[in-house]
Amino acid sequence: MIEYLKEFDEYIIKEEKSIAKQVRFYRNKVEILNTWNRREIYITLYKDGRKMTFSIENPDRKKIKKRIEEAKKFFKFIPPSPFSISIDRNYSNEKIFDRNVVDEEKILDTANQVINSSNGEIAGILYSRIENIRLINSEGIDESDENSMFYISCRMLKNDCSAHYTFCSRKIGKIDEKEIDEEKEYINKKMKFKKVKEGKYKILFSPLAFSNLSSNFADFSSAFFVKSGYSFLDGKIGKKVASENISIYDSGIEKDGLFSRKFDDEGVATRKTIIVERGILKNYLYNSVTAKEYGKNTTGNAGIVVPVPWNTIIEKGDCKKEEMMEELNGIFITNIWYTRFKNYRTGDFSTVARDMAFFVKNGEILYPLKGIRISDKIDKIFKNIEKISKERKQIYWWETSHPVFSPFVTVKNVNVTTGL
Amino acid sequence: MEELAEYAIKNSKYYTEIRIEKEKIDEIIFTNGDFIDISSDEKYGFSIRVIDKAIGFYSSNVVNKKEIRKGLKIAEKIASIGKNKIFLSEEKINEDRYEIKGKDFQIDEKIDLLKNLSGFNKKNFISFREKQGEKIYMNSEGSKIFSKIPRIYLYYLITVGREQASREFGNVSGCEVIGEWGIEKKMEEDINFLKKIEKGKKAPKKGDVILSPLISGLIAHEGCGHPFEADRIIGRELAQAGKSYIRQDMLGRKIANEEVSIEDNPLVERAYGYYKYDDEGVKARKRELIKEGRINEFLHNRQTAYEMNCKSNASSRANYGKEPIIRMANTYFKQGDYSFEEMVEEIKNGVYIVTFMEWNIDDRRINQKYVGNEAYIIKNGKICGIAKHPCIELSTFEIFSKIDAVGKDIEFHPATCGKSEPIQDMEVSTGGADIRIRNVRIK
Repeated sequence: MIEYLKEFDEYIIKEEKSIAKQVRFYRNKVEILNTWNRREIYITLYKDGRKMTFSIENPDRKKIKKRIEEAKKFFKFIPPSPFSISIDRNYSNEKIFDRNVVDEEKILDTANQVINSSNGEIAGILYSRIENIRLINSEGIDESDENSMFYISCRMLKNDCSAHYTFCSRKIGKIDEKEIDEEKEYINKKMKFKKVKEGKYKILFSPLAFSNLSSNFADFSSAFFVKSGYSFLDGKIGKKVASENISIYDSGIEKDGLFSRKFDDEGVATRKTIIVERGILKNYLYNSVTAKEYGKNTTGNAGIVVPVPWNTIIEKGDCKKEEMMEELNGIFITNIWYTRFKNYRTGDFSTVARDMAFFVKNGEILYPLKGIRISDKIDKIFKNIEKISKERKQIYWWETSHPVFSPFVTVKNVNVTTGL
Repeated sequence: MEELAEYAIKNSKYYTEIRIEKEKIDEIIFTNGDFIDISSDEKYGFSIRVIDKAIGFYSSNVVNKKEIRKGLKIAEKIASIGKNKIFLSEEKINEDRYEIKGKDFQIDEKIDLLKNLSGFNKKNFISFREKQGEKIYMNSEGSKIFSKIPRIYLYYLITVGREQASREFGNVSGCEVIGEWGIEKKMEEDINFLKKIEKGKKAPKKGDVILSPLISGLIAHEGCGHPFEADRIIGRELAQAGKSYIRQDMLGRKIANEEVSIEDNPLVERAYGYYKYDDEGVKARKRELIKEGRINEFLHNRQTAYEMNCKSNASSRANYGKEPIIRMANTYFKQGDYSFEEMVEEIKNGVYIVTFMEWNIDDRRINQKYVGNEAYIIKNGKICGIAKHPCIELSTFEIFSKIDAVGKDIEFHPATCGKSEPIQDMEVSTGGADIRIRNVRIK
């Protein structure tokens, strides 16, 4: 295939082969098992200052040749755009790989274990995937990588109370029954809901709730989103964007990180990149093109067009979650969803509480609240972080764009509104 | 394609469906006046669904008899593992072939269009996307549907000073529809409006609100379409898109003023959510979800229709390579008899919201919020100046019970609806008429 590409100044070919399985259950029964078998090739071509990207499913030599010939005809119409490929072969490959994640019997057993652990109605999914990636580029890179992922996302419902449990790993794992029991405790509380009153509250976010805000924060650090108006972090390198209690980094090399990868979509070694260090914005996430535009080096986060976070890591704090709860006068929020922005540049947004949220006084849960919406600014939330727990959990589910290693976090002065 | 599909159906011992699909997606991106990327993705694969005591689903982009045999075997094994048989509603067997034809433009014309738009202001993101979908659907009962549908879509986000606006354009059509979108005019208007927002006035704290079809359509989608999806009602989406305020026994119950009728119709020609048959081979029809204020019907696939003792209303749709699930198509407030001027005349104190940026709703679909972008103050029956980001945050029931007027003109706007896991982003449209909501809190 390489012979077809010799006339191009630069090229990248990435081949992905994957098998994925998903068990989906609801009303306490397994209903469907999905299997996906995929083979796809992604090609980036660059010639005379012009670039084009395309993908072909289940490719063979004939299909590839045909598409490259078609692409050549388009090139004269394409406007010039900058492109470059960086080289960094400092590959770290300590991440876990477990082929068993797609073992059908094992995943069905685990799904049934999850179902049986519920004391109410339960629904959710168990998803697993293995993939092989091979990347060849015009700078002489020819590397392979293999990845596995396994995650459970389920929700238990009892009367009007609900709780969400997630489990993520690169290896097939047993669910943490103690943690499920903790979630079950929330829905066992026989307390009457009260409508939330609008105002400013101190809020304790669970790891699940905070993962949503953190994944948004990390997405905003992509240099492409910064330049195209999608980020409140524009122009803030070196400035305070969060409380000095918090440090946030991106890692493509986390041993058990679901999205860890040996190299990015240009073939550049992935790494750990500090986004926020003690409240100060240190870096955006770059691919080679955006790095050049900003006069920086790539951070190994390509995306050919958009640099993407791999796994977002919130540095552990020094508080125990029990202590954070004991000291709380405010609201404990176990989950949020539907985070939407009025303005990406100013960070004005709102998000809606989901599952249980409790009004807490002197550490005592008084009653569950309904109708909570956080209507605030994303940077204000991060600047008002007071405490971060030692406990941290990897979260990946419907409401995070990528995995987040997320702790319990207390934030003061959060604006709560309601439509009820 | 047809021969391979027939091969799968003939060789299955249970109820079986197969979709063989081709998709070609082309996208051009510009930002801040600069060309960023042109991409072209080609997909070709099959998906088999076997239903007996469970559902076995197998999808692959290796399209040949050997792989189909393998997929069928895996799906059949899974279908047999459950304890109780899964039943589907009885539906008419359909055989049809339909194609929506559209014109293509030369690549340089498309690039010129985006280049021109991207030069309108300093900070923007513009994406233009064309999707050509070709599909054969077959099931073991004998339904056989061939379809070819082009979808075309443009999105922009513009930043002017500290203000932002976004807009979507989209149709089931070829490029010939682009001229009707009036993108340049809209973009210019949006830029000019953003420059003026800062000088806008705060909306009254309480009053009447007129919402344009951009927002009324979103309310129809979020506050009616989603909670009326029968799979949500029975808890299948509990861990993802959530549950519903609707229970199965609420059919016929009054939920809104008599002025309110909300429909979902896949057959609105050229609308972004158009289709003629769903992904279970059922012929599409209009769904009257709320009829004159009463809950009239839910959105069903064959499985939920059987469970709720009715017929499917063809709401089963699938993304490429994914299982079919219950989806909306084109969801809207049915037109009433008010002109816009009549609606405004009767308002002493209020606000007219034309466009939005931020919105959200809780997962039972009750607690809603919409923040206006282009919006105007209404005083003593007249529009008088810009309202600075008025916000309505209300319950679905308050909205439905306070609508007292619905406009007589309807329009549709494209949207992308997310549901299921792995997420399926489905092309839909939202819209309908202007609505007037009386005496609500405005923030």
